Amino acid sequence: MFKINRIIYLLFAMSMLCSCNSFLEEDTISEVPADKMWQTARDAKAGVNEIYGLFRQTMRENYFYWGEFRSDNVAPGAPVMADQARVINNLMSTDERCAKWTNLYAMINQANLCIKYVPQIDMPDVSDRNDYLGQAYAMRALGYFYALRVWGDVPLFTEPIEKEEQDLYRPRTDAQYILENVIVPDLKQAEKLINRNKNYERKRISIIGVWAILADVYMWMGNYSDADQTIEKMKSIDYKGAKFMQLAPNIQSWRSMLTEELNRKPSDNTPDNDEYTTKELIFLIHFDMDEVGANGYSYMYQWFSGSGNRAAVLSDKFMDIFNQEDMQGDLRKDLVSKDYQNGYELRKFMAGDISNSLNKTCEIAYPIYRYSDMILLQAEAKARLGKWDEALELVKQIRDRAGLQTPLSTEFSSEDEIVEFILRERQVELVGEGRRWFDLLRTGKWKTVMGPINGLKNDGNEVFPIHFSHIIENPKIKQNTYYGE
Amino acid sequence: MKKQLRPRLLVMMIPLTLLFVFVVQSAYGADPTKKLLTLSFNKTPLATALKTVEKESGCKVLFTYDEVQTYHVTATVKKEPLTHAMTAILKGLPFQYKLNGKFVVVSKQAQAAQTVQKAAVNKVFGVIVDEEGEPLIGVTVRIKGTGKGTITNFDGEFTLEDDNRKTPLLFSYIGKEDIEKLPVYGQSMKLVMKDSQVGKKLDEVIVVGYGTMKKRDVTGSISSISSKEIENKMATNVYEALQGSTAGVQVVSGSGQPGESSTIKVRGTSTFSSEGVSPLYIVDGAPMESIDDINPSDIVSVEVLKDAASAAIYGSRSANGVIIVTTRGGQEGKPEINVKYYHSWGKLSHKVPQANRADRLFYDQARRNYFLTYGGGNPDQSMDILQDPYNYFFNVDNDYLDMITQVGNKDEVDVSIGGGSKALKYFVNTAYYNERGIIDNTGYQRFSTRVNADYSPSKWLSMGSRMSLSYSKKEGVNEGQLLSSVLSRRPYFNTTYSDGSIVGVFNGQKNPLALINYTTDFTNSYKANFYQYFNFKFNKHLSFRTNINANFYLDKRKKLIPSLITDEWQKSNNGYSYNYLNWNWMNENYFTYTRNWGAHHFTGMAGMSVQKWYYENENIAGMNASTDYIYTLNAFAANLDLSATGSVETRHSLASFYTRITYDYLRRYLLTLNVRRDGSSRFAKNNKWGNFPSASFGWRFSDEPFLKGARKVMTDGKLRVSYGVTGNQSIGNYEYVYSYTPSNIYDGVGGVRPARIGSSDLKWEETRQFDLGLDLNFFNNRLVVTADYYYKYTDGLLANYQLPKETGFSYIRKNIGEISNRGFELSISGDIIRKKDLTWNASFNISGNSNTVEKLAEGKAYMEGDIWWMQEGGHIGDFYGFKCLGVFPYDESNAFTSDWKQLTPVFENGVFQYKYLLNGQEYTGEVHKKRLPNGQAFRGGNYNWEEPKGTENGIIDDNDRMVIGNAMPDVTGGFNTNVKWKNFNLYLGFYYSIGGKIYNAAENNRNMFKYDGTTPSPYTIYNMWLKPGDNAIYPRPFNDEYNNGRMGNSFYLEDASFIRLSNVRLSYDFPQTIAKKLFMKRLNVYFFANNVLTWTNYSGFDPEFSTSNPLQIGKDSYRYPRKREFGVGFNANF
Repeated sequence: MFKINRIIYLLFAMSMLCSCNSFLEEDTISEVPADKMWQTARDAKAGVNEIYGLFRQTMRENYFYWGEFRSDNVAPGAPVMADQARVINNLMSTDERCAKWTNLYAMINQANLCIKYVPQIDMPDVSDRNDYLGQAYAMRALGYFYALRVWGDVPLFTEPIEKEEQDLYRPRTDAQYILENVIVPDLKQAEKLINRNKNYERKRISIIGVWAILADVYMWMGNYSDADQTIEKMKSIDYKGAKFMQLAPNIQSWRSMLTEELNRKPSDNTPDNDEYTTKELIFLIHFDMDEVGANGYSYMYQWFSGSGNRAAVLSDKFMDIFNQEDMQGDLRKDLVSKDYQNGYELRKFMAGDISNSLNKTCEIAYPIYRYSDMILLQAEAKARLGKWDEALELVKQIRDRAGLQTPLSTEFSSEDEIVEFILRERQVELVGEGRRWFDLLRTGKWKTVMGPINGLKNDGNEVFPIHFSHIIENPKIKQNTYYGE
Repeated sequence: MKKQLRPRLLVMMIPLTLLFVFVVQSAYGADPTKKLLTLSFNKTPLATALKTVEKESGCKVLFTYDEVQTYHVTATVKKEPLTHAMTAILKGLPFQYKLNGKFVVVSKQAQAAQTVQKAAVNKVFGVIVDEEGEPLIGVTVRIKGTGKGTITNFDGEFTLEDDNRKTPLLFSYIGKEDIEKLPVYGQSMKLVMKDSQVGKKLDEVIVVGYGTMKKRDVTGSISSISSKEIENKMATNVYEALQGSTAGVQVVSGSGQPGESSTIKVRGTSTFSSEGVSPLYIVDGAPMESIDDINPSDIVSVEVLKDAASAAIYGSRSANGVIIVTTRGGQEGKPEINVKYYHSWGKLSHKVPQANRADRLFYDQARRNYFLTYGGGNPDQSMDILQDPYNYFFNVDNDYLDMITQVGNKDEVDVSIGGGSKALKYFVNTAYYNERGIIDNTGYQRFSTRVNADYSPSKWLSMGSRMSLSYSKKEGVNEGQLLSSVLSRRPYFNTTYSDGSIVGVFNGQKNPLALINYTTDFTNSYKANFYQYFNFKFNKHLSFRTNINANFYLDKRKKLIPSLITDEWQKSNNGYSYNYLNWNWMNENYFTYTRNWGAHHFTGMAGMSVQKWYYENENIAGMNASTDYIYTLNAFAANLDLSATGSVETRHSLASFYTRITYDYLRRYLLTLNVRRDGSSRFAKNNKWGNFPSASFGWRFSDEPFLKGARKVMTDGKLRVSYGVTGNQSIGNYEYVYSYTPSNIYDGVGGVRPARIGSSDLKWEETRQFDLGLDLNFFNNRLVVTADYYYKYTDGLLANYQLPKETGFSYIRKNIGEISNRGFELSISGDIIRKKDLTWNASFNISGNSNTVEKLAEGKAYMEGDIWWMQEGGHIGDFYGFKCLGVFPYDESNAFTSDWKQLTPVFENGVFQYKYLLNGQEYTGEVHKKRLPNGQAFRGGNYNWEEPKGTENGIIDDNDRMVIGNAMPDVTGGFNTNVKWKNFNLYLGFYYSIGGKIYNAAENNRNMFKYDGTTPSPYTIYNMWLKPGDNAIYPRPFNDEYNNGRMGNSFYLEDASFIRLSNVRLSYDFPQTIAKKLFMKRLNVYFFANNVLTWTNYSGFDPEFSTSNPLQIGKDSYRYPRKREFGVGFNANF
């Protein structure tokens, strides 16, 4: 009997001795350990791609909250959409969802990771590597550009956070400093790095995308000549023997660009192939239901249609533009709006009739930059630079397409007047594209425009509140004074 | 790393290896009389020789020193058994020997003895042992009726000079039955003392980790619940069995949803993470992930190890206490068949008031008037309804709660067979449980079976298996969505269209009836537990046990939200399939050594275990299937939701070494020492191992001679002190690892982003606990009192530390801080009446706990969830928000003195007189107004928010939040009583929770005036501010930038205290004669009622509900309401 025991215990003793060493080492199975990441071209691609995924997550709601809802384009849609109504009516408090920067900074951190690690990856084609890096720089710039337009001064992180020991608690950095020392240099870097001969993406950042952001930034900084020149450069890029940037030639193709080209574009993972027939789109946020899932759909339909839960309708003030003398017969009017259930709905991105053919699973991409946006920016820049005729020539391209006459420069008596004219054109052309509020901010017209509408006229009210949780998490962050101490 | 670990492991192996050598040696000499002896004596004194034999053989050699003094031995024995050796030694000497068990009695041969007869006849000697053959020390031996006597020595032996042959000797010993016996002269008496039945209760064996202990010897704080108590409570799961029955154990059931789990908190919250808050569950020695599906009728006892000293043997998983469930084994004897059945009916126990048609129409009209006067919203938003109230669609008055609830039903059948022989015992139980909830399409079914078998093929080996299989199906509804639509949908909206078809979503709101009837959402759970043990008994002292255990859990959830209820256009549906497999195996091996040296009782246990868990998640999600008929995901193959489709695997392993020593002297001074060393894969290389020692000491002062006189009153009294360290490692499997995870898919490419910031410093959470306890037993169990005080200090709290979001991360898993808990527990139970036909007993327990957050990372306070505040010096469950002082009736009521005392504006005929009163006197000083940060003053109809003392500046912003209350109850406990009169038995069970607050978030949500579709409560509708001068309770009916509807408003804080009569059970035992006629041994029928009465001031459905996150407690969002239940049933034994 004891022999059996002896064998059993020897076996136990032995198994205990040899197994414990490695027993407690469990490697991640469904995650990549940090030291195994950033090794190959695939890693670079996945890492950079995630920036766009996070950008989509950031902008899904905020595209409208940040750029559209505070402007005179919209009025509250349905009473159930109270959060949107609070922004539209300038009733924001510090618990507003759109006051959170969580996703935006996740995207910035991802860009920082790419900027740190992509250069270290050994890739067969250096120009591919540079292209990825360039996209990361451009997206970081775009991230900060949104941040400072929304909140003013924001905390600055230009290196990725990977360890707890890093400096995590930072006060807000002056917005002007970020513009000059991060955003502009980043975009200049991107301009150098992006592959101009291969990257013809419109769902991602191409060289045109870099220039679009840069031009927008220059305009924001009041640097009109650089803005003008930057936009001018876009015209130099060719693709398969034609210009890569072209305006949609007529109102029908304009319409199909917004309702078809933006809608359900199949995923295409080849940067050297431009899958769009329209040449007007510069950079857009791609939506695909298979990718975003049942709760990540684009809000282009749901927030703007149906009386039940539409977030916003076009304001009477906006609709009134079409009654102005030089706007009569605007072909865009019936394409962007429809009077439906006590409100003018934004129908710009909807092909069919909402009540029976559409549903909430919407795959309409969000255009971030469009060529007509750039043309009008350039017009504004030229107007500011005193080149009124050139400016109106640019505006004319847009108005011709809309079936409108363009006045001559002699009909304007001041720079302000012509800029106001261009801005109104931008408002109509770009309605629903998250641009109007930033235009009002950029040109300082927000007080006079919004004051009579919702009382948005006091200094400090132009920025958003910072979500209270951000301040609790980092006591170095101070609230924007309009919303708290 | 591996090199580092090796020496450490080797060091740990040494004691085990030594133990192993020891085992082999002991095995060698299992029977001392068979041991081969080699001895050599040369004119050695006989006494010395006999002592040598005793030493070599291990037998006890009994002889009288005087007798052998003059004799010498010369003999040589070589590898001879004991009998040969004795013969050789005594050869030629006038002595003979007799072998009696392990005693060798040497006595003078008859003739020779004659000369000393006088001395010998008067001598009575012998040895006294217990039922296991262990000598009993300190047994009182008295000659009856005289004061003359002695006590047994360390070997259980006694010697007594006695010449009175007719007087019996009286042997007595605590906890043993007295023996009266006539003395036997000249030869050794061997007496076996049996355990006394009176002292039985004290000698109840309770299960502790890796072994059992007599209750009277326990030095830690352990509560035990018997199967009888479980039966009385009509428990459908272990949680219900525990609720209210043990001090210091707070059981809170999730909601009234059938199959809903509960949370158990042992001695307060000592951890911050939701994964680690539940105690460790040990079922028949095997750790379990969940005890949800254990059939309560399988259970013999449930033990709760509360203090560190008891729990520390389970080391790293024991910080929240350990709950040990022991299931029934077979009893020796004929097969016993037991059949149980009951049926019950349940109904919604408490309705929450809801606005009816008239209320809502009043509200619509009031809002319209408000908007016309003050703006803000669209006055015409409900016009079509107000103008066309007889429209088919608006012409109803729904009471949604009535419409969605029904009479629930519950059935349980239970058939068990148990029996066996001495060598083989078995118990088989099969049960079926079926509950249909009070909301249609909700329910819970469970089919479970258990096979327990024990087999002892030989004296040295016993083995056994525990096997349980269960299948359950939980059909649920989305509680939040359903009840929010129930409470807020307009009562006049029809639920069907004029053509009779059901309404899905209308005006952005879902029809609750459609939600209930058209949602498919159920989870099938398959559980299997296999457990096998082998116990090797080497000799009386030493045994070795090895356990092998494997648990399998498979959950499969299927969900289909049909197009009818996804949106108004009914174009899309969603399907979801979720498979979760968790399986783990464990092997543990330990030696147990028990030995008594005289009055020194010693038990040692040492062993090791390894355990490994495997988790696998598979998710498939889809949308837009062509049909709503199929809920499986084949219907969605064309439109899979790629972002939610995938599988994830993780693993976790744990290695442990542990040892326990218990020692006592005279059963009066008791000591237990535990050490466990655990290694977990969840921590970084340098922090993998943690040590968890504990010590406890008990003093049975009632056994002290100076309290001898009190024994008539105090049957037993024991003081316990313990201190120990327990741990917690319940975090994700790879929290210390900085790694990347697949994330967003964008344009056909899967993105990869950091999963988390790694924290290589991550270490064990450790709880040090001190416990002081007192066990008192008066008048032979007539009154039993147990009281405990404890102090727990946890450091290295594992929690999600909220990072500034600008870092790109939400949180980091971190050892976030330190917390202390202190509290008391008192339980009193006793028999009030103890008569033949009438017994009445009652038990009462109460416990209180208070905690303090002692330290937080970086000393930084933070907000937990949306309403709790964590700060140093604060408490878990502190609600953080704005303190509401009421509603301003007029714009002018917003007027304060410089030190923020509110002024009363003077109005005459509704016209403000530009005068203010302060305490009835006209006030002429400066008048201040409370304002928003942007300068706008608060108006009439806005809440008047109080600013924290010392920081008043009149500007109401985020800095004006403060702690407005705490969710933790002051005391909780239970009261149970049982009256037995003849064949009737009546049981009443109460439990209570006093103190603490509930944040009624459901009510806050419905009264926010934020969404037009939301219907406030009727009381709100008639008490909201509508015009200047209204002394309203609720603010303006529109939520603007003044944010009157904000979450975190002291107005919605309510008292959470309640007392509940939770169980009533009246049963009747049929007389044996009748049972026999029905071929039964016993037949018992009963009536019961659960959740009978609740005394509370809380306005919501129920003050009792739980949340998985231990820090986010007391916020009542929409939960499935509870039922009141009545039922009948029987138990039959064959």
